[in-house]
Amino acid sequence: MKQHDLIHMLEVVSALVTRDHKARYKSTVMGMVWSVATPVLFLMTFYVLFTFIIRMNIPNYASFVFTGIVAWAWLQTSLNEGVTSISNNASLVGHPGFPLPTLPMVSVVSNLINFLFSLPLVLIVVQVESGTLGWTLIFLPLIMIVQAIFQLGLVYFVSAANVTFRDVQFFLPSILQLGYFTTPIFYDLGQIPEPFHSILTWNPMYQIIHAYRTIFAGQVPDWQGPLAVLGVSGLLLILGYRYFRNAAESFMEEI
Amino acid sequence: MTAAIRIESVGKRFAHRDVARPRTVRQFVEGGWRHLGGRYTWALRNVDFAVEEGEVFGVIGRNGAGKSTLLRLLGGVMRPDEGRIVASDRVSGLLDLNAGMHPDLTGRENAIATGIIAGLRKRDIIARMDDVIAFSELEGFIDEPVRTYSAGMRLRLGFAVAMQTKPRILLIDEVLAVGDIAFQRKCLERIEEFRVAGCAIILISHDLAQVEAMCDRVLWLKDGVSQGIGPASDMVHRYEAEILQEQLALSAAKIAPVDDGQPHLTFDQNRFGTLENRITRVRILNSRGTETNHIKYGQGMTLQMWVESAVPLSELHLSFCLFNDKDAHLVDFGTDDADVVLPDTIGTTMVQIDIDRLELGGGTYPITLGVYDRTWETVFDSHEKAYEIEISGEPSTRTYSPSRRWTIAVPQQAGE
Repeated sequence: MKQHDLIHMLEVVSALVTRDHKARYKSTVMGMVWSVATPVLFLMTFYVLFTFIIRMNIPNYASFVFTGIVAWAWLQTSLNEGVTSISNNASLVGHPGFPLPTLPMVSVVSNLINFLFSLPLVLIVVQVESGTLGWTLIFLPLIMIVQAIFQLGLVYFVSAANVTFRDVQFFLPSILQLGYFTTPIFYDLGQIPEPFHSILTWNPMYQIIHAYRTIFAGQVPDWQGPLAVLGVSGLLLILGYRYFRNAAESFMEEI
Repeated sequence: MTAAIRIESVGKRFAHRDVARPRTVRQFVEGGWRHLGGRYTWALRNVDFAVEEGEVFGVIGRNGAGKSTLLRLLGGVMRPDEGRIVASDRVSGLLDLNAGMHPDLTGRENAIATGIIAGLRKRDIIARMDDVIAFSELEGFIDEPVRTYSAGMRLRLGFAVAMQTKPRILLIDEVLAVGDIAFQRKCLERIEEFRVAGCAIILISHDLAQVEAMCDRVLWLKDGVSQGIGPASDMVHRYEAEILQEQLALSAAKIAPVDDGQPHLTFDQNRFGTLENRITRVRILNSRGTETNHIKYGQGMTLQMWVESAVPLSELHLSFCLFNDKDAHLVDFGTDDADVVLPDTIGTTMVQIDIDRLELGGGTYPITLGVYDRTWETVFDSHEKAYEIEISGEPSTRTYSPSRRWTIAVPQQAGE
């Protein structure tokens, strides 16, 4: 029974992710292109801005900034889509036997696929600019798992909160925007005064992005950061999931 | 027999949507703690029943009586505030058949997705795709996007997928009212197969005839409280009787008798309704245009009624019934006839019905005229057997008596 439930959940996630992706690529011919176009546009903007206009003096700046943009895009799209995953799916929430915890998962997995579409482009940029890609790429999936766990915990939390408080979906994008600028994505720790360094390193997304950059630079990441993030994310996932389960009791009354 | 699902003194309450609960973080912050503790209304209280394997259990009651709440509690998508629900197996539902469908995907792709959502394994739904296609009668369309389907086609697809499951406990909500008669019959047959296989079925419907035909036992809910559980026909009749009582009480309480110059009408005896919209004058003419209620067999008649409406006439139903002496409807038609278009006029409108040939046996036939709202829920003005016609020139059978021609063929005698 338990095993059957788990298989059912995985099949539901896969069915809904497939559905979303097929729908996206059918409704716009350029579907796949669009999911990659946004990070590429950001890359070009930042590259021109911070290489020619305001000099950042960060080596291999295109690789540096692109890694940050693509990793952050996964977080941002997962959360922005995940926040309404319950409140916009009344018919599935009201379906007897439907496994509710799959809905937030779908947004994380669905955007993982977009992340994977962008990844080859990131690798090309890195290889062309610095030629540092190497065997350390085998660590890439580990960091992605850490990021996925971190995001899943957050999505469980915001999707349930948005059922109780309908404005979560409206201020979440602003918070993410703020996060974009306070996370060293297009700048480096070196650009900001020393006292703030320790604060910024507490940001899980900084640790994750930093690990990606280290891996792309052909080096083994310093595991201390990712492990700490894994611990925090695991805790966040447990708490977020519990909050979600408790709130799920009254989802149908509120949507 | 064992109970497949048991409901024990179940109650469910809802918070009032006033200041009781903040709906946004902003309201929450602005409200501080004063919003704690709100007022509640019980949507359902002290409901007890058990449905056996292989039983069809019906739930009837008006809108807002708690039927949908009960359905959600049974489906496990809401938790009861009191009592408990014990289900022996997974509960399936024929509720929102299009849940999870995406308009841009093809019928086949959607069938796979909704099948998985309904609890099937992906390989099973793929293996049964031929039956889905055959059952839904979508042979030529299965690889077209669902966006191009009609509402009926979508429901057929949803039904066909849902029919692939092997439910042990099945909730059905109104959906049987979809599709054409042949498709409905096919669905009912499949549901009957489930029942024979031991599935417990809970049917919630406004279609009392269907409830009576399908269900073994029926629960009647009123304002969230059980009015009794019993054999389907008993409960349906009790429910219908109460609805009628309420209607009459409503019209009696609400309306002071009006004298609108129709001395043959006495309120509460042969006239019922709220009189918000009413029939103010009626004329019956023979085929020569003379006002009379004597009609010769085989001739036509014309009925004119003047309807005074406070709302656009198009929002009303006008009906004409003719009875025999045994109280059976010989004729029953109204403005829901396909080709009748009522205008949007407010005020008095004359409506005329021409019947070309009245082929009825001799005798008198009472006539009832009525004005209803379009859902038949409110009686505005019903003149019950307030008119009659008398047919002459035909033996007095008081039945339909079509004009006829007999042919008697005498066998040819050989050698004559």
